[in-house]
Amino acid sequence: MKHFEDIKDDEIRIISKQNEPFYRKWWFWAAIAGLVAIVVISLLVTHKINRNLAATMKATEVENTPTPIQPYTPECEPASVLVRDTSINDVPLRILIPVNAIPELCLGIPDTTDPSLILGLQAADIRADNQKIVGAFVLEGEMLSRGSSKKGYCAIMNGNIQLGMAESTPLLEETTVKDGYFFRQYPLVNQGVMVNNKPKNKALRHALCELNGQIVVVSSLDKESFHDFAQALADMGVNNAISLIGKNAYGFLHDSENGFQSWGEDIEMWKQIPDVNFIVWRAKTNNHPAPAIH
Amino acid sequence: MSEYLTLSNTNELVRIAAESLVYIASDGNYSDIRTRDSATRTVTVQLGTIEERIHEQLRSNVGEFVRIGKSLIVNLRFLTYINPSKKQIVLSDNHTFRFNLEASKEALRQLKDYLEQEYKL
Repeated sequence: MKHFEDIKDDEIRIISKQNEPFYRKWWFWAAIAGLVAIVVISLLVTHKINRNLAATMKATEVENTPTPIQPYTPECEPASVLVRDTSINDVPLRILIPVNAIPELCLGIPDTTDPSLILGLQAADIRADNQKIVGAFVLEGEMLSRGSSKKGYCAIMNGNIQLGMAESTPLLEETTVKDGYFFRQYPLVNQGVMVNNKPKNKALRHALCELNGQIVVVSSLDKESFHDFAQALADMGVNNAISLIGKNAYGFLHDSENGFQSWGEDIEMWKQIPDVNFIVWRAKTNNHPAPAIH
Repeated sequence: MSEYLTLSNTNELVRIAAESLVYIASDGNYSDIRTRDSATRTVTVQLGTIEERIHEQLRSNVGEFVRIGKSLIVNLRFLTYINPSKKQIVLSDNHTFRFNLEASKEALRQLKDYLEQEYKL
């Protein structure tokens, strides 16, 4: 205990010291230094986490992206079909991306043993009553069928596909002039907007789509209605899409990566129908063809 | 918020705003408290007890109190002049009051040294 009486006349004693300004106290500067250290460490840690997160997100994006953002078609690569599976609105989808190949139509069953054909799907519908092609159909500039009961169309000229929706289009005439190809089908997506169609049944669906400026084929892995399938395509970012024959339609892909794969009804059944037609992708002539089928 | 120095004995209780305290001088068992209004209040409390109360009660920024020898406590806030050789110390606000006090030469020299150290003179 302090003895306040214990002082001599020639002594002084500080009783209460006036508070120093806070900025003159050592603990103030120690606290400032501590705060600065914490802020710097936090910034460094946050920066590192953000970089790791960005790298992870970038890697995940690359892994999950169903289609390439930019077409990858180096001329030295062999023709192939990139296969990407994804799911949009709980609709499982398979995306087939033909690379280094040129699209064309063919009438009748394509020669699946031809190693230059890497992908093929049935294109225009066949009428059940007379087994004729539904709607306009142009094969190498020759118009084999007329009509526009289905508003969606696919025009192929100089190896380029144009998809759209219209009752009449100058592209039909143009394909006949330029030895191109043309067929009609149900429109599914027009300018990014899903299109409704009358059929309400569920079936395996195939579509010819313009996605990120690239033409791809999208197939449903489960039976879907036109509505759900078209909505999934639109939500995936497809700009334009028309249907290809679904249900039990025949299709195949063939490249060195995937080998030969086919789906749908046995090809022998379709051989009974003379007007059965396909859209196929043929390897560019300067590319390596797919291996022959044995 | 004002702080008060509160002193109490069997007969009385005194509260003085700390900011108005200028000095306290001892007179045996009595102490004279001088405030800024030049008033003097005499209390029957020994200087040592007042020093103890100041130490206990006045903690904030009301002034710096120093015990000088056996008979004086001053508020350094009002210190305007100190001369050890003349044993003189002056407390003033340079406006309303001025108190000339006397203390021992050695005590004032220590006080001068202390202030020089505080103000880095």
